[in-house]
Amino acid sequence: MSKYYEPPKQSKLGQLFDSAFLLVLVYVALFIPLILGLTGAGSTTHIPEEVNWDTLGQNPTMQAQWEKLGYTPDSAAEIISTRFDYTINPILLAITAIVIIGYFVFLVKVSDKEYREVIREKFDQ
Amino acid sequence: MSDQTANGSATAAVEAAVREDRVGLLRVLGPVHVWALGVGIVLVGEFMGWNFSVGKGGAMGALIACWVIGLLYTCVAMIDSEVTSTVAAAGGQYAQAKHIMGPLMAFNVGLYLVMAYTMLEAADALIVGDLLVILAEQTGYEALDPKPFVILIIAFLAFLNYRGVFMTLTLNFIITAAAFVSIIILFLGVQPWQPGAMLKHSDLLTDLPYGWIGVIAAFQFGIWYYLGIEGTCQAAEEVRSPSRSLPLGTMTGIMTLLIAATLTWYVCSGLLPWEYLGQATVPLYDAARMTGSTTLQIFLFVGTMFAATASANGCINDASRAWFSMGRDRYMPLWFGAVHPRYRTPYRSILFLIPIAVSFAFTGLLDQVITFSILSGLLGYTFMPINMVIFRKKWPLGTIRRGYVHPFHPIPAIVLMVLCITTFFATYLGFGVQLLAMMVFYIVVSIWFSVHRYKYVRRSDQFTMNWPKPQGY
Amino acid sequence: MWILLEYAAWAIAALLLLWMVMDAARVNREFDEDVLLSSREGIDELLEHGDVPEAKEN
Repeated sequence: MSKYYEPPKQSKLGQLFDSAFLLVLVYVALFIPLILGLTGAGSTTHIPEEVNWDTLGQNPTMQAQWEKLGYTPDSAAEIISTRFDYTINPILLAITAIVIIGYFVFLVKVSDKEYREVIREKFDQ
Repeated sequence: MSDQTANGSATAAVEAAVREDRVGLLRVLGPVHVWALGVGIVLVGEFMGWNFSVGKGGAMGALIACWVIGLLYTCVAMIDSEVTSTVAAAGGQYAQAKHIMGPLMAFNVGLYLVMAYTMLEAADALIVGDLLVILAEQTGYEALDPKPFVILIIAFLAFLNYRGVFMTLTLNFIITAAAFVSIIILFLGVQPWQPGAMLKHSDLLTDLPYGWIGVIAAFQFGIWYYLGIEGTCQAAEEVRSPSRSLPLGTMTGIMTLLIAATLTWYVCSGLLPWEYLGQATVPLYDAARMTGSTTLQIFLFVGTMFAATASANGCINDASRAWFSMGRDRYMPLWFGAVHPRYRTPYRSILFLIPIAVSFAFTGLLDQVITFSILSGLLGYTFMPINMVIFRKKWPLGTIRRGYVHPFHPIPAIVLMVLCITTFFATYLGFGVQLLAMMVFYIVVSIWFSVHRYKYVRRSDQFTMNWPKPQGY
Repeated sequence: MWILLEYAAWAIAALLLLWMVMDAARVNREFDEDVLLSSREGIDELLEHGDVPEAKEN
């Protein structure tokens, strides 16, 4: 018998606690970027000094479509002039890469260890 | 797969189960339902969300992203079809991970699924609310509160899911097909055979605004065109002949989506300036507005509504299946592993996820929620090629019966891996902090699982397939 | 009209949720927990039916 692992039964309270714990973690993960004030993509906006369709680089067809959507050069200026910032920060990129790769290596290693237990119990009768 | 046969076998299965004094999920679905589940979840991505890829890389960049990511998903569909037609159990990729890679991986995959789908469900419900606000404004009522409608749609769909999978997915088939037809009608309505009359590609398309790095950055939202198609596997335990229906439903699903995605891009990029398109909330509806035709506008309004509803519906279905399976295996509390004796649905999981979806919808964190949803999906795709390679290694062809064998192995797995890495990089461009926050979350829960939850797991129950011992163990 | 719809939506949503919670509570009372948790991964069923349920009894 000692060969087989008999898991303990979890109490109702424990089950409730575990579900709640996981939920709290999810919310923390959602809120961290918000609290650090780092949400959304980094972007820059350069609105030209004189705002009209030409300085915004819109040809006649584009102008017509913007107007059909209900925009004036002033109201469209910000949408048109905002650009994402794709500058790469090598340190942050490296950290991100290491974290992701490390995570998967950890997963594969630990899973395999647990998997061996499963296979042993299942097949070595 | 007429209704009659399905109902007939449903009754038969109920009787059989009562005799055995054991309740399980009901096997009543055909390939049509699998298609409806897969495409239903995803199609809403054509009505909103995909266009952020235009913002990240320009219109041409978005088209390239659409096709490259389409390739990624074709690999996903091929790999998934093989594995899931062989490991046919509720929980889809979760059950696959459990049999092929081990418990911790399975726990993570299960969480990817629950998070990705529940968060997507919240976003879908919000769209329904937003659309109603637009409608109210157009009929002269400015102060519509979308909250009751958002809650109503979640409650109604949860109710359907609670009452039985057959009805749920039959409804999904009808509204998904209707939404798809609305895209085709819009495409025909803008007279694509007369370029320049309505569609003005030659004047509206610009050079790549960010160059090629923008194209790569666009991959992140290119995922929206297809995100969730792999959910077809969740139905494995409820499909009548999984080894046939799942590959069939998934493959026809990905084809439908490739068509829908290309049509959507074509219509929108021919009507809207890219800077507008890149930040629009409901781009296809905007495109219909630009045609000036009230009929098209109504069609697209209904289409968007249906697509969002179908998606939320499929998400409830998938998230609850994944959560249920994890409960059944005690990865999560066992209490969730219950099946309703009459409706044969994982009713506790369905109930439990309602308030969570509602809370995601109302925390005002929609951007965060969507990013988290996409990234969870992406982690799931990264798992697939690793899983596939290990699967063929542990059980080479011929050692077990596979429902479907995908060609050219390992090329799809390698392509998928390369594309996943590229998409992680694309996400890093602009959303690096969210990416890290989410990774921290998954690392913390993995450790939590290893040191705490795993002790409740019965080891030998984690392998239920009737297979020989894997090679190398 | 829209205000009425808002109230109706609240009411129907509440009703649906209430029904589900009541039904779940009823099931929990009427059935033994072991029966509710008796589902197994559906592999055995798959093999029994030879994987061609199309030809199944009607």
